[in-house]
Amino acid sequence: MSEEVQIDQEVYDRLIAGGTSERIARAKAKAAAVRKAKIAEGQNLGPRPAEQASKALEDFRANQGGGGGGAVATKTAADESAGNGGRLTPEERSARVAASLGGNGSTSIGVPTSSSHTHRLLALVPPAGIQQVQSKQMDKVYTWPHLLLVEFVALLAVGSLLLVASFFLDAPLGSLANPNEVPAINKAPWYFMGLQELLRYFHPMVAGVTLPGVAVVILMAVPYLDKNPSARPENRKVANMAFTFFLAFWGVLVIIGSFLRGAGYEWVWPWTQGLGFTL
Amino acid sequence: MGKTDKGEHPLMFDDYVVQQVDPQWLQERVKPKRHIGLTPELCILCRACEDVCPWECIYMMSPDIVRDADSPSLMTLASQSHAVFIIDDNECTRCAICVERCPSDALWLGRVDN
Ligand code: SF4
Ligand code: SF4
Repeated sequence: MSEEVQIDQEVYDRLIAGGTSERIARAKAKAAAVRKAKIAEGQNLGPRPAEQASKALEDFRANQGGGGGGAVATKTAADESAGNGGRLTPEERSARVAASLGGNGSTSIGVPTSSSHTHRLLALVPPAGIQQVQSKQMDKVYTWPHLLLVEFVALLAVGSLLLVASFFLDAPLGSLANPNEVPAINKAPWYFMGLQELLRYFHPMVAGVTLPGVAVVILMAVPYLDKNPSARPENRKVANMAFTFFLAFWGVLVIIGSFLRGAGYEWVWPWTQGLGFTL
Repeated sequence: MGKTDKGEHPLMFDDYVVQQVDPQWLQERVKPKRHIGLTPELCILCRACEDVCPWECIYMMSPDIVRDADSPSLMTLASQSHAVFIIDDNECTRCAICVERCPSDALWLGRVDN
């Protein structure tokens, strides 16, 4: 859109304040400015005298090309009451339409001179219209019932698993802590075992801050590094590889830390001193 | 119905008669050869077109406004429709903002030609 047309700042500000988007507010403000300018020039907006319309039509006929195309139109013989706040009155409209059609000489169907407005039917939207599927659906399922049903079943399964586990597995609180008696093995919960295992090899600063920090940064960068839009596993080589490496690295550390470390956090085989794993 | 900039509703009617017209009619009627068209199958009735038009000349109306039609089949279609789209070709400037705004590409700017 050209920027030569001034916008009506007042209309613009009001529309923006009303939450209208910038682009639309600008268009409407421009329209308002054009209206204002035309009114200021003394132009009669909307209803134009019939003579002017006939003259415009004659000019138009003079340089008119071919006809063609197709349309469906509406017309009415409405008897609308006058006083439409600056809009065309039905009489003015029919005068305009009659003038634009060139009176009786017109060969087209046209709008009868009794018509009171110039509306054209754009479309009738049938019920089928808004439900028609335009393309074959691919890779799409609906949230209900497909997803929610599966989620509900998963909820039931996990719930019953927890119920059974809590019934059979004894997970008591330990005795009161005694500072004089340090347990032989002190282990973090299993999900922190990977970190604890790392502490075995690196300086605490590296194992506890640097490496997790780098991991978090890489995780945050993943959407920028791997922009593959495909949802098919076979197309996601980078993602698959990354997760495999993560499992190989972190999962193995967790397993080692949980099961293969005994007193003093030394390496033991479970079959020599038993599992060093407590719940 | 969206309100106009001035807070008024556009002049509306409730006794439309759906009529078949020839291309020449459309071309004679209003000067520009370009006209807005709507593919009903694509429309999702969001009324965004109505909302954005700077001249408030495209409106989505209830099918009740159609009083009569050229043919019985057209009348049946009209009475079974979800919406009736009306455009005032004399007011429309063919700015195509509605075309751009339409989220489902239902509106188009076409040329009246052979
Ligand atoms: S082309 Fe512009 S003026 Fe015409 S109906 Fe669309 S938004 Fe309104
Ligand atoms: S913007 Fe498009 S989809 Fe929405 S009501 Fe208008 S024509 Fe229909």
